[in-house]
Amino acid sequence: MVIPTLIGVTILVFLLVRLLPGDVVQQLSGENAQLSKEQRLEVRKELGLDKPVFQQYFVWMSHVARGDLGESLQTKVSVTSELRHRLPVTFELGLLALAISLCVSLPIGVLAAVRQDSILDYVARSGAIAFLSIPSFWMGTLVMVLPNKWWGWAPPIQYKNIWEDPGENLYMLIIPAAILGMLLSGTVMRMTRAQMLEVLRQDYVRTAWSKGLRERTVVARHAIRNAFIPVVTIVGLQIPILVGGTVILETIFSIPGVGRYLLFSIASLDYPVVQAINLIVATVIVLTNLAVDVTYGFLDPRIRFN
Amino acid sequence: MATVDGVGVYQAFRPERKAWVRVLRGLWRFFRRKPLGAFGGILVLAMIAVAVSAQWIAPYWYDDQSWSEAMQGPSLKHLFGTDDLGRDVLSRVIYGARVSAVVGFSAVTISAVVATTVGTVSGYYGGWFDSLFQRLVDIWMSFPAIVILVTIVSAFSRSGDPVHRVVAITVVMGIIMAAGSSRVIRGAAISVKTNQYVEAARCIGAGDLRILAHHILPNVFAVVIILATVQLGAAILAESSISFLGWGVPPPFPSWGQMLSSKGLLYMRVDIWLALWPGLAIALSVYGFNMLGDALRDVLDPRLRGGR
Repeated sequence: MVIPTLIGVTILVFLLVRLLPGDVVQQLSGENAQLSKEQRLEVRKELGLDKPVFQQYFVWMSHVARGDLGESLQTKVSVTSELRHRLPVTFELGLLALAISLCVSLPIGVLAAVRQDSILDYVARSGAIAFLSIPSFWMGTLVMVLPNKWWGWAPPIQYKNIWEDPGENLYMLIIPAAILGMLLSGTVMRMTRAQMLEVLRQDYVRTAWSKGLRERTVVARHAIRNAFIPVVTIVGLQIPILVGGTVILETIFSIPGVGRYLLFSIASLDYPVVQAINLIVATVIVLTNLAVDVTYGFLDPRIRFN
Repeated sequence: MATVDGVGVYQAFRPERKAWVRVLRGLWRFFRRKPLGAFGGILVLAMIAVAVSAQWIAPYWYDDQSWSEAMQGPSLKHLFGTDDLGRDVLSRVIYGARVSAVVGFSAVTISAVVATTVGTVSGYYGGWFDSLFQRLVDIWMSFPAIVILVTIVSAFSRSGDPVHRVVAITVVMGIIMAAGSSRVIRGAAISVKTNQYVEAARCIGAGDLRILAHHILPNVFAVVIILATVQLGAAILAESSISFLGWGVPPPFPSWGQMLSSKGLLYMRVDIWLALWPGLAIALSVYGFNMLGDALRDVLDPRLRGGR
């Protein structure tokens, strides 16, 4: 089932990219260049744009199957080699954000449900929801503006490779990662709390209480396992949001990741790059969905897939 | 005077309350039980009221420029100050509420209708229909929302018509959100359909449509409402995000995200108020929808009511 999805993804990527506005030939030769009709046709032929769309698609796919993602129309650099530098950066940012968000949201979600309507519940809920409500681009902007105004400090914008200078690398990524993590933790916390509340009301939990089990046992052994099943889905659903967030935060903090590359490429009609990045991102997300489905069955024996 | 028949006696003992009294009492109960949710509701109502009455409460027209007054901090004449073109920021924030409200509510309506239909039917029937739809949802959801938004919206902005652009943003956002929530609703529908009362309904000869309408839908409805409320916040965020990136609602019409866009970073460094107000407006609206959604969940879902 993963294969047809991926094929569907490639078709959609291909079609979406062809929706991009403007004439790529005009863009390539500069806004003001006056091209004759013959010159235009020549350039289009060079780029393979004179062929029918489905033929273009098969040419593209046969290249992709061989690991060749094409080359940028703007810089003539191979997309594969460009992505080799940029993917790890975005991956690190995303992973860092996910780790921060899970460390914050899961314990708070469980606690807020167990002590429903207590002060802790109110503070945790309104706090986490406040984080969820604050736009990441606004937080980013404030981080760029306020400390500069008050203390003359600005976040670093010179990216250092993690293998060369791990300290500097973390120093640069930790702020955007924290902003992104807060955005994610709101959703996960809400879902965890909601699911815990639902599970805590079920008969088997009442049975556990009436057996005289300690609260810790009831919550940790009996409730959490069932409550976390839908939470796994929500975390899986966060991956595209995570990638979307990296697009914005990479732009603000000038991190040389995939997101910034993508925005730049959309703006400059560099469609081989847009295609390649979409394909990579989509593949990652499809595989995550698969992993979520498998985990679902593993966590809940009631839902087993044949 | 009480009559002898049952109805009259009943009325004598329990005078029938007017509808608005009942509504007020319900609201008061909600207010007492869920103060944070009620606070969220007030924020939401305030935002809607501002959006509806923008032309009466805004002190200036949103595009009135006065070069001599550019880049001023808050003052009595301009409560929120002025921007680099000398436009009144308060008026722009007020008109910005209208953009957010229209785009948000329309997108979420599209999303809720599509997601509920697809989610319940797909979850209930299963089989090839479910497989097909889940693959389509997989494909659609494999793209970060912001990428699809920017791609399609930039395609539609070719005509340069602001209305085209806003419609494109709304529809694309609705469909993107529908994909995500249809999966959650499908999950809920699957877990509901394994309940014994669904089996019992089938035993007494209920058809698919009846089971869907009377047993599945009411039980996933809470999920739909909660998703919709939260998505209103998400829609406002998404609209402001792409406006921030420069592909959203076109100037001169004020959108909160556009007011924060990176082009203005230089001005914000000089006058931090410029960075504050629009962001605060976004955060408060989204916060309102989220808190309301949370409280509604507790109130609407019977399984969560009362208890331990």
